[in-house]
Amino acid sequence: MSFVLPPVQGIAATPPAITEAAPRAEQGPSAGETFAQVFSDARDYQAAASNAAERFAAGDPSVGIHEVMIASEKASVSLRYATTLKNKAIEAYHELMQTQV
Amino acid sequence: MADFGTIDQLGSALTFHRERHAVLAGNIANLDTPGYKPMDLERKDGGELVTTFQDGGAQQGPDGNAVTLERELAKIDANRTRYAANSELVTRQLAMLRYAAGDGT
Amino acid sequence: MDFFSAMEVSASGLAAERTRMNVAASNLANAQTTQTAEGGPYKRKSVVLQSVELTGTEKTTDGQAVSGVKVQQIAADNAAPRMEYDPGHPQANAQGYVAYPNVNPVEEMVDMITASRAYEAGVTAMSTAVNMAQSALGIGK
Repeated sequence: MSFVLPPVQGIAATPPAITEAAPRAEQGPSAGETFAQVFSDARDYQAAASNAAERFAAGDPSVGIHEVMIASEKASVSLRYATTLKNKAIEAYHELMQTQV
Repeated sequence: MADFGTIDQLGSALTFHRERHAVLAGNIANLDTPGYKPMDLERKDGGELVTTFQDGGAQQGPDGNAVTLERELAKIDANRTRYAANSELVTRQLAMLRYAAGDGT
Repeated sequence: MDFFSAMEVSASGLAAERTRMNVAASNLANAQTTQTAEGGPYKRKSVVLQSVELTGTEKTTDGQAVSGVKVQQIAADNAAPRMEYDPGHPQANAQGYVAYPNVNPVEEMVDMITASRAYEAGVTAMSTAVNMAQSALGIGK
């Protein structure tokens, strides 16, 4: 779950021939994609929790006490996670901006 | 990104125990009903298949009623304990996730 | 489903057992009643219970309805009255016998005790449901 920069790679002694295509390393999701996913998940959990709470309040028998409690807690945890990520990203941005080049 | 898999499993266990209590309460309600055989709820296949079945281990009385009060009360008590335990486990799982989500705060 | 179904089931049991208790009490109170409005001695009553699928309750995951109980009928026992020789009694017949109700006090006491025991068990089941619901309310605290 922590925000990690990719490791710094050294430069090859002899540059590869221009005709050769440089091999492309396996890439996971970008930071932007991860962010979007996390916030999207938080929104979904929030919607599910509100939905469960409303149905429970209306007396819908298909929503039990533990269902609505768990839904509410999931929304809370995922929102907290998203907020933490956001704060970390802002912190990292500020650090980056202060780096002497 | 948070993994709620364990919590979901605990949640479905809570649902099972709640339904089982309803079935066992039905046995208590029918303590004196002639011909009534006690029912129970069972989970199979790693928690996926839930079946209601007649309790074959019960003994029959003269009017065909096979409910034994002590047996049912014992089951109800065990079931309640499991429900409470699962509920507590959910709280602890959530506490861990909340801690991790706050990055150690 | 939540606990509403389980509590309705328990409530049906409590109601049925209370009826059994009332009928046993009525039988006991009228054990010596030789004259009723319909004429003749008091007839012992008995409660016939029947398991019933409660409407409005949720089913289990595999589609089974939960069964409560209801009083199918309060039947009058048509067994012959107990005849006692007492020629001086105002209700004595030509042979000097008085017809007493076919009530066996011991049997009625046993019914009261079993009804009472079943009632307590029903209360325990209902309290357990409440207890479980409160455990669920504590999730996340």
